[in-house]
Amino acid sequence: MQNLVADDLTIELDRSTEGVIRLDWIGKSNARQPSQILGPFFDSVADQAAQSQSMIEMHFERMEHFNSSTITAVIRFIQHLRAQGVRLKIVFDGALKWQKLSFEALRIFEKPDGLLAFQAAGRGA
Amino acid sequence: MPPEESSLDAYVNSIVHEWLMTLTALGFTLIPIFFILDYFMMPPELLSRFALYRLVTTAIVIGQYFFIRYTKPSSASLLHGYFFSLVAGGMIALMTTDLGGFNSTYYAGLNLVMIATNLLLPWAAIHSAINSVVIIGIYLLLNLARPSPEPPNDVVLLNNLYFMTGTAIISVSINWVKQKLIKQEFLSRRDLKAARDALWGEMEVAKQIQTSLLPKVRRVDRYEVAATMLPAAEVGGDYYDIIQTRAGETWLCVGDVSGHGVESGLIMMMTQTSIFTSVNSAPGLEPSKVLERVNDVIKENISRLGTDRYMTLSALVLRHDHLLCAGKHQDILVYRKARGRTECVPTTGTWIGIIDDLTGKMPDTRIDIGVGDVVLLYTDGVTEAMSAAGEMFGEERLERALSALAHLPVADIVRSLLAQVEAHMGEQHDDISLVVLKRTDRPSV
Repeated sequence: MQNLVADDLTIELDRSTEGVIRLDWIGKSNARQPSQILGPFFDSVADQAAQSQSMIEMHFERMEHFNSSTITAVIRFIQHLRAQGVRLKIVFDGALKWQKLSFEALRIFEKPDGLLAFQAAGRGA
Repeated sequence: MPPEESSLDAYVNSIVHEWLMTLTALGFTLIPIFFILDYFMMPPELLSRFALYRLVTTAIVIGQYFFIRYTKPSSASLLHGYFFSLVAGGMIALMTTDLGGFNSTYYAGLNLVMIATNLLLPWAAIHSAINSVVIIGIYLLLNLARPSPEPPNDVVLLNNLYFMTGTAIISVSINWVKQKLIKQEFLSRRDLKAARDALWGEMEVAKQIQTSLLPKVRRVDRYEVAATMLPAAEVGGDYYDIIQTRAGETWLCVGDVSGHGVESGLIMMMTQTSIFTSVNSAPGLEPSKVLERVNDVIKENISRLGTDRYMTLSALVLRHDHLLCAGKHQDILVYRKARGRTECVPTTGTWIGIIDDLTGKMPDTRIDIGVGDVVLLYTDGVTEAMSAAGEMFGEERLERALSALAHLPVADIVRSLLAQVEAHMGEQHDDISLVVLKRTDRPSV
């Protein structure tokens, strides 16, 4: 699997740690319908994680901006991974208000099963 | 003439006019260049005469080029095509009379004129046919009028006319097909434009609905209120409302639907209706309960629409000395007059439309408000307004601005904040909404 590059957004994929698929979001995601690009990429990552019984770590600390439609794609990914029983950890920059607002709202998807976890990193951690 | 045919004719005239410039440019470029061929093919005693022919013809075609360039397309534009054929074809026909009449191979140049004129100009097949007849006619007339000392070889003449007629038939056929394509293209463009105009018209209506739903309230019990929304070019999903219920409660709501377009605007309108109905039909509800009810409606409707939008939404009920607030939206900024500084109150809970049941997931937060305190609610179009250099306006800048402006009347605060955001941002990509409340010590009249 390769990195995703679409306009100002790059998602770097790193499998160097055993049992972890790390996705680093870099740049900006302001596409009108980011799901069209992100959807197939996420499906592929989810399938790989399920096959290799890996967890996924998504890092947003290097993200400059994403729009609300990008969050919609992330929500779909969260729900898809839960349905597949894949663990997901989302790491965001707690010092960035716009990131904090978004990911705090998504904590609603955290369940006792531990499949989803959030971590505020950076200065706001 | 039906309007459709009239505009098609105007369209054809415009492209004929445009391509005539190309045709004449081709003419004044190639006609002198062919003198090189003359140099190798012609008897030396004829060279100066041929040079004169080419010089005069080139000068006429250059004049024609500029005439076309500085005149507007009209139904007479196509006459330039005939004129060009007459001038260029006449020159070649004249050359053949000097070179042995019908026996000369220079007639081939007439085929080039026929091809260039008829294929470059997107005129009707009938013009292509007439033009070809004109070119062949000049050839015949000039050679009959200036007969060569050598008798014409009938077989050669037959050969020449055969090839010229063949070229004419091919030109007419191609032009006939081309005309059909031009008509199809014209009708497709017209339909596309009509569809685009209709869509923009509907988008404009949706935008008008969005802004027409905004409240006109300027003062509620013990609070002065001012608000504004600066919609982006496209329909956005920003929402704010100030509702004074029949039971005497005052509600203030601010939200933003994800994405853009009519669908976002539609969800915003459904939310507005749902909140209005909830707070009026069940007095005394806490904001969290109102949002639970709103979520029931909106989540169901979002599912029915087959979409996956969501909405950030804060609902506040205004009390004399405090606000009760629920719902995850942007932080609420409160300027404390007593302390002379702005504090940031984070909103809690989650968004509308992302899970089916919000029961127990939206805590209510009490925010005490003193006399002179100023409350600012806004949407992300404010804090995420991006400068040309890619820098967001940000919450810290907004806090500082509020502290500096808090002494002003609420309408001036809103106006100044909006002006600062507009001055900062390069291009507006999202709706911008601002709502400012200031507590007074006077009950409303």
